[in-house]
Amino acid sequence: MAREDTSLSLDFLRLSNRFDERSADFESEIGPQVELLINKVEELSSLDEGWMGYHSAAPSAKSIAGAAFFITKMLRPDIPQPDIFPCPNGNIQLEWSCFDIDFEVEIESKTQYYVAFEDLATGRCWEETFTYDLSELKQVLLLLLERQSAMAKGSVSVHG
Amino acid sequence: MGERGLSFKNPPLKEVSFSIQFQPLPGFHTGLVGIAWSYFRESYPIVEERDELPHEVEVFGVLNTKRTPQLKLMDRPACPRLLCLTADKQFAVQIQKDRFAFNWIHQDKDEYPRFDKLKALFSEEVKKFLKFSEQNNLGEVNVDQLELTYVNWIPKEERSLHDIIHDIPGEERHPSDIEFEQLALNLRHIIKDARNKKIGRLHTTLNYPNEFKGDTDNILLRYMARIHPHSKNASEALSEFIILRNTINASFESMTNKDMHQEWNREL
Repeated sequence: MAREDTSLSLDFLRLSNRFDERSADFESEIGPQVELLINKVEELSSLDEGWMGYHSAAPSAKSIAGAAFFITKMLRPDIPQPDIFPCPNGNIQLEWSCFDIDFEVEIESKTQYYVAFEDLATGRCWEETFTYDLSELKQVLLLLLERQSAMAKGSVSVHG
Repeated sequence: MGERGLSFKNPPLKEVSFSIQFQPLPGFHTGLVGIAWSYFRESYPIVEERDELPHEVEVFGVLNTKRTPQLKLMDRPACPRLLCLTADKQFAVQIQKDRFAFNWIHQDKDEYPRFDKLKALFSEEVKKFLKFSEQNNLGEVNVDQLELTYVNWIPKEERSLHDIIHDIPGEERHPSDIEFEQLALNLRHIIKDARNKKIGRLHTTLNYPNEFKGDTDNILLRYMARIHPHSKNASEALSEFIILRNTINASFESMTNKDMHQEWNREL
C-alpha cells in the first residue's frame, strides 16, 4: 500500500548536523536527552500502514520531520521529557502529563501543530492550532520547567 | 504597506533574487528537470546543476540553536537544483522540487532594471513554471514562503567604513598600534503585518572585506527578507513582494549615509 504523503518511502533517516565551523564559540547545544527523543521519532518511521487497525496511516514524512524540528528547536535539555506516540492519522504526538499539567502537541508538519493544554492547578485550558509562531508553546514548556523546579523544592504534588 | 519612496539612479546593487518556496511537489523527479528546462530554454540557454537548497521556514518562539539537527528523508539521491541562465548571464531562473527563483545579476555597463520591471519579469517566469507544473501533473503549488534578496557591493575607495554605514565606530577610536582587519555583522529583524502578527524576518549581513570576493574594494551589504504569504496560491502571493522590497529599502536607507545616497544619485 502506498504511503499517503509523498513519494518518499523513508528507507532510511539520516541525522545530519548543519553548523558553522567558522564560529569561534561553537558548541553543541543538542544534549543526549534530545538525541534520545530524536531516536524515538526515527523508530516511528518503521511503522507501516495499518499499524493500529485498517485505517491507521504510517507516520508521514512531514510529521516525522516536524517532530524532529519541534524537539530540536523547542526542547531544552532541562525540560521534562515528553512521551511520543504515533497518531492513526499519520501525525506524531508529544505529550506531557506531569506537574498538574496535561499538554498535548500533535504534529502534522514543521508548521502545523494541534495543541491541547490543561493546567489542573488553575483550571486553565485551551485548544489551538499553531503554525509559524510557537511562542505560546514555549511558555507552556517554561511553565513545566517552573513546576518541576518547584516540585524539587517539595511544594507541588505530581499527577500522571 | 504602500510604495516606499527610495530610488537611486546608480544603486550599488550586484544581484537581486526573487524566490517562492512551496511544499515539495510530490511527483517532481530528476527526469522532469530537463522537461522543466524546456519551458525556459529559449530565453535561458545556459544550464547548470547545483545542490538543492534546504527548505527553510521562518518560525518564532523557538530556541536559537547554532546547531540544527535535521532529519533527511531519502529514498533516492537528491534531485538537483536547476540553474538556467540567459546568454549574457544577466538573468537566471532556478528550479527545484520546492522552490522557484529568479535572479538579476549585474553585468558590466548594465543598469539596474528596477524592482517593478524585475517583479514583472519574475511574474512571467512564475506563470511558465506553474504551466510546467500543471502540464506534468505535479499537483498544486502551495507557497509557504516568499524571499527577496538584495546584494550590494559598495565601493569603499578611500572612505572609512563609518562614512558609508551608520553607527560603525571610526578607526580613530581604536588604538593606533592595532590594525583593522575585518568587519562582520549579522542582524535579524522580525517583520510584522498591520495587525502586529509576526510574518517573517529580515536578515542583514555586512562584511568587509567582501566575503564573496575576499577583496578590499567593496563592502558587502546583503539583505534577505522572508515572509509567509497570506495566500498559498503562487499568483496571488506575488503581490506581497512589495512588503519585502519596502522592508529592505527602509533598512538600507537608515543604515547608509546620506552622502552615499547622493553619490548613488538618489531620485526619490
